[in-house]
Amino acid sequence: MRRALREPRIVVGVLFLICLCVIAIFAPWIVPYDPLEVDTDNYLQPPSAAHLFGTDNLGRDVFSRVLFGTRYSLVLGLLAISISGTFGTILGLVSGFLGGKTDMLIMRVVDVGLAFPSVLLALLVISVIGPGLPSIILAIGISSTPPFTRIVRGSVLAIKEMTFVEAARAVGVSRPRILFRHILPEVFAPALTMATLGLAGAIFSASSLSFLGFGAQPPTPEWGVLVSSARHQLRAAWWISTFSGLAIMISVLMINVLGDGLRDILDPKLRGKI
Amino acid sequence: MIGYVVRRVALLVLTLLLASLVIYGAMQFVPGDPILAMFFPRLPSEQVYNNMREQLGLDKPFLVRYTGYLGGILSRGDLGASFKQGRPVKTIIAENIGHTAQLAVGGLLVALILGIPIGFYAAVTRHRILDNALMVIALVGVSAPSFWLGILLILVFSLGLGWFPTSGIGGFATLVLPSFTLGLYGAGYLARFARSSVLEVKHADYVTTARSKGLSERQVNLKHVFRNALIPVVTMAGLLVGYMMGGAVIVETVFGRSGLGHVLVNAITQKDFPLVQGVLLVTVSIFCTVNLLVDLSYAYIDPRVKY
Repeated sequence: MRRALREPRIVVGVLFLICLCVIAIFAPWIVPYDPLEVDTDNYLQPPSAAHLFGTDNLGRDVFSRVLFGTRYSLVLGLLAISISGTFGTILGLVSGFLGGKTDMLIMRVVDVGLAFPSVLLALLVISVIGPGLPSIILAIGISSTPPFTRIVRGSVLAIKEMTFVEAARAVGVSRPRILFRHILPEVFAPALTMATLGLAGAIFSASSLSFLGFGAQPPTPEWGVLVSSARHQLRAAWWISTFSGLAIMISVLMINVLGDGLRDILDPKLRGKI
Repeated sequence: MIGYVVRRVALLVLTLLLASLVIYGAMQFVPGDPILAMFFPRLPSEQVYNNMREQLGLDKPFLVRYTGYLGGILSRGDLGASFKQGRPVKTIIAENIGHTAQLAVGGLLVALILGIPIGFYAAVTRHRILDNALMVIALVGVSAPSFWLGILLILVFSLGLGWFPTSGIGGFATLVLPSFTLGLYGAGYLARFARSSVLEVKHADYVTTARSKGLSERQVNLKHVFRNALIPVVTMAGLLVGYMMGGAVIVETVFGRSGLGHVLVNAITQKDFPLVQGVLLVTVSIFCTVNLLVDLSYAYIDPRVKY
């Protein structure tokens, strides 16, 4: 913990994530205007003191819409990563710990998952269950499970051979107890790193899928939708797409910074690597 | 080595078979009747409906249909016909794959040409500020969503400076902005990876030996450090091909380019399942084959690797 506090990337990243949560929770009280309120007298106004990020074609305040968008992106990202984190950890634990046929079976399924570029796996899921917010959560959750499983399995395989596990086995500790009391806590570090970097990836993918029209739908102020709906008015209003996209980039960047810091502290073997 | 290649190819075939089963199987779970979807918004008469059902083999069990589909692919390269266009999926893919390949190669070139030198330079420069600045740029590269990056490039270079067209296909000029949009993520990724790869090699014994032989820093870097640091970077570049194929879906939409990504997005929107199936299958096959080739090329790049 103390080491984590000395790592500036972790401190900055955590502070940013807290800010993001505060904005998401208190959005209705923070925003200067109602994000859905149409004001046809003030349409396509460039950024000014009254409208920091300008207004869109219906006169809606872009700043308020971007702040509200935090809610969607953060919730989408967190839910998607909890799906892949939960399933990835369980599958990786079981696969690495049991070995043998179970391992082979799970790893073949993971191989099939990894055979798809992740956007395409997400699109396959969406083509089955249809577009919408719950669909993209599920799609991103499923498409990021295979890499998660692989990392956790790799850690379990390494931990399984360590002397403390051998000692536990030697004194007759039961297999489930070894798995949950001795191996699971050790897997926590790589899983946390993966989850953090995965959160950045999930926010990235969610906005991309919404941009393509498969996620949130207008007039929802989701970041990908905001960029997409304004892209045909670039000549008239550069500010809508620019600021909405900037929000995505800064969020993804800061969470990546946090993930990089966590990885270097928690998993020194990976230090300096991606 | 031969044993290893055979094993890997067998595993590739198994993975592709399972992937085809997943893709084909997934399409069966799509709610709604495929024949009604074909005729939508019109309604087919009962006679037409039954004929269609028989013709498509929908009255047969799943496994029979799947083996029929697989048999068609393996014997004639037949991927079925598009529901909406009525044309063979194979033809539609053949018409579009070239555009996507051009885009992917363009993106990969941008990633390699920008990413590797930036990463290498950041690792060996003595200016910490410059190193940090380059790494921040690389981080921006991996964090900026490509649809947004594409729009910014259009704003500046098409609408602002008028150097490149905003959209369309044909000629080198239409390929520049899409390639950069697709490639900048890869460039950031490679720069970060190349930097850490150099840092790892920099302190190896043979580098110290080279330096103590009296070679200049430049010679040490070029002949000993960079060459060895390049090995893992090549693998990473190979993996980026997969990213390029996924990213093409978004970049083609932003720039209104035709290509497999564009075809896929439209097919999903129109519920044209044979087309979705075909595009996914072809993309996954290319992706897996490229990954295998990259793995196998390891032995040539690094003679120490034994299989």
